[in-house]
Amino acid sequence: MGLNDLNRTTLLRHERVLLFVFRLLLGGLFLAASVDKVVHPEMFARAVANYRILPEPTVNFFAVVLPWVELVCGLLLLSGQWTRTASLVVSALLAIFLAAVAGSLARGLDIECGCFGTIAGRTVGLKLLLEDSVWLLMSLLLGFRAKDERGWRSLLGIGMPAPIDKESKT
Amino acid sequence: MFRRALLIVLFSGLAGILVNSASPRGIPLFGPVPLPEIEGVEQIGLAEAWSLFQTGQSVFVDARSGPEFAARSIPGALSLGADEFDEKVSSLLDLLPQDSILVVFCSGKGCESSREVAGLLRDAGFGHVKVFLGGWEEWTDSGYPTSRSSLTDPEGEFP
Repeated sequence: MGLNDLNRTTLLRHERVLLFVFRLLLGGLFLAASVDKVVHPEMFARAVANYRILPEPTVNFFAVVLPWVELVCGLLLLSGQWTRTASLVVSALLAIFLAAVAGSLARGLDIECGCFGTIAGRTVGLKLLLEDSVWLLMSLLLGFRAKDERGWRSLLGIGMPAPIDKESKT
Repeated sequence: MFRRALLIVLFSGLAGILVNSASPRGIPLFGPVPLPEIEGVEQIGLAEAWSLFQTGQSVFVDARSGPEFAARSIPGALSLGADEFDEKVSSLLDLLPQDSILVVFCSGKGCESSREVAGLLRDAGFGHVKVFLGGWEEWTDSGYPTSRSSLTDPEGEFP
């Protein structure tokens, strides 16, 4: 094994750890964010309506469905099942939310984020935009580098193949 | 992979819809966005507002701005915005018995002032405060009577 292989292995190991952390953080975020919204759909519906993006007749349906997608994806990420797919769904959600926030800022709306439901009054602003971008970056990285796996072993995994030194390559 | 993603969304959506219909806190899937309840204040629709107007049993309170009120309002309404509440509250208490039925409105569903003023009136001791949610928009869309108020003086004080 040359020096290059060693470096690459180390890098991959670091990447695995990093992505594992991302997986847990994102899973935790989405699980936490979904709970209050699942329990208080009426309040989340109001928050969604405040963005004035969706036509009113569709707001309630969206407010009922979205928190459950967040909940399921959060659980999938935390348990390491279907990591890749869950990350990509989460990325889509984050991207949509980013667009919604950017749109509200552009229109000068002074509204509550509604991200975590009734907990923590957070208003739409640049800080939120920045935070969301960071989460999106994390989920995209995870989505591109991880694989879908199922089973108990995935709990501690990342869905990525083992680092090069464990594989025999000729 | 997109199939799995679709599966996740469909499954989650179904779970959400089922739980929503079973839950006491569920909301109508295709209905109007629920408005928060205000304690001690009843939220009413157009029909009730109209019937209260017709029977002359209530006092309408216009929570919109002074100029909007002066231009045109519901006949017999009093002008009372949230920001002038403190100034006007004592004259209001002199003028009206606390068990009067007050119907507060502002421009429409989008504005918050009617609910704010209603809360303030309830705090001031009025026992029968109602908010007419549809507001000025709904009233005029339905072609109900409006008038220029000749009651208020230039300062907007109550007579």
